[in-house]
Amino acid sequence: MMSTEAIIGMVVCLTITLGGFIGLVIKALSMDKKKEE
Amino acid sequence: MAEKVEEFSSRWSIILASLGMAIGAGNLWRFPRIAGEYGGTFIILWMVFLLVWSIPLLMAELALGKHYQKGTLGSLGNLAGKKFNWMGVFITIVTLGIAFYYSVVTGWSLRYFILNTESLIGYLFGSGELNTKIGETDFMDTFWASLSNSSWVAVVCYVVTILAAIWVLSKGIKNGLEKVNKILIPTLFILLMVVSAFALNMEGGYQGLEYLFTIDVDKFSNPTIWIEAITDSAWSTGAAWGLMITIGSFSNKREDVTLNTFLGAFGNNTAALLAAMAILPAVFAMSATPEGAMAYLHEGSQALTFTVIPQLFAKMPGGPILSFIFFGAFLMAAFSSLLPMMQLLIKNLTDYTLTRKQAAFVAGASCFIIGFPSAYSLDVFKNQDWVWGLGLLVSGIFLAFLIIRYGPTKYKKDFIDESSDFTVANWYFKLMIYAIFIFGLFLVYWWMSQGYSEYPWFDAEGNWNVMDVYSNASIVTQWGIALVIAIVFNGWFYKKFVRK
Repeated sequence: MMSTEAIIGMVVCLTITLGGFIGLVIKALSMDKKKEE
Repeated sequence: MAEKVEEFSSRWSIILASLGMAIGAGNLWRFPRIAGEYGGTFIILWMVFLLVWSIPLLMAELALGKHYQKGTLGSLGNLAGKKFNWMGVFITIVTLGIAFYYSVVTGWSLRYFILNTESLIGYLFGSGELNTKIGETDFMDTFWASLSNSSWVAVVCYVVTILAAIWVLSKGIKNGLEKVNKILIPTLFILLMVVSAFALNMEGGYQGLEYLFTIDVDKFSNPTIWIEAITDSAWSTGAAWGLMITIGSFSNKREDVTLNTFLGAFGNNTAALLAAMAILPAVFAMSATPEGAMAYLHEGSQALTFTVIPQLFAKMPGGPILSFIFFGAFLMAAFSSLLPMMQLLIKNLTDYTLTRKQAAFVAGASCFIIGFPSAYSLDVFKNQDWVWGLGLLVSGIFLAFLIIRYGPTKYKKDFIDESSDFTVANWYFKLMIYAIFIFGLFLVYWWMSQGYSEYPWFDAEGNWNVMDVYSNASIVTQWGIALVIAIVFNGWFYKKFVRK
């Protein structure tokens, strides 16, 4: 099993990277929708 | 007759193009190796340096290309003015230097994809003999050694990839680059997720994640990790390559800069993390001990990808399927990065007087002729990788200098904020541009002082050591030639690409 430190690290790294990417995709989609309206 | 000005059809096409440009071989062979060695501490710093080095430069480039609608020579020349136009020429030469040997990597990836296709067919419908051979250490070592040294197979493979790139790019932006990226990039992400899911389900695979994600606070005091993090971000995202200028030049004037840049940059890092989550668990699961896995990672990028990974995959149940998917992803990543590099040359040539088809032909022929020595000799390839890889840091310094000269806040207002959906703070952009200039100087000094060559400047007989693969003499000589060309023909480049 992975250690607690590694699990915390994984959550932190994925939240910043993948979370950041998904957040930006959502932002871009909402900006596109606004422009269409 | 002038050809119709081409444009990407939407924001998403620009983002896919920037993802295709940034996600390349480095994401799959360098990042997992370095991340496995330094763990979560490196990843945190690598994320920080995305904001410090890569994003400010990428924003600046995308905005510049969009503003002037010209290639690197025209756009950078307009920013620099006649006095410093040579800096833009140098940046262009550095990226072309990379494009010429990078086409060889794409050729290798094609050869490995073919090998793994043969292995998969044998595994599914035959005796699986080829897969058994791949699992033997000697077979892959010999295969790689013969492919990378004086191999006509390597030459044929790289010619095929160049022809494929010319074919795509001669069709134009909407019908060529845009259409191909719409297929390549989503498929690449899906393939990486599949390999990652496979690898994580292997017994012992979690150990790879343990190494990848453990944040050791004490390691923050190790300067090497900081340097590796900033360097990897600089090399991986394509910042200061001029490729974003090229992408920007095909961007509609109303298109956003800041959000699109952030999306491309974060997408690149996501792909790199996915690759690491695929490769490290596989390497750790198939190694007898964690020390053995670390030894594999220390073998270097090319050895890890082209000898270690095929062997490891061949030994696991269903390995040929996984290996086929992995090398399919590798080929897509390499090809999607080669396209914008060749597009950079094509755009500059069409800015001159050539039609798109003529420019595509000239770009392909240049790639073939100048890239040939790298395809034929691994030492030449390694030398070119080292010389122009470090040259990118100089490109970053030059770009930062030109922005500082123009005024970072004014640059942001005039170019970046023109039509951005959201804007970054003025202090952030200004501070980062100054930091890039200073960090860039330090990084060039650092990498040249690492002593990768036994005789960095002069050989044992006291001769200028220009023929050594990793010598500083070789770096300085080739940069010097590029600078001489840029300075001697400064006026000509300015007249033909800027004033025109």
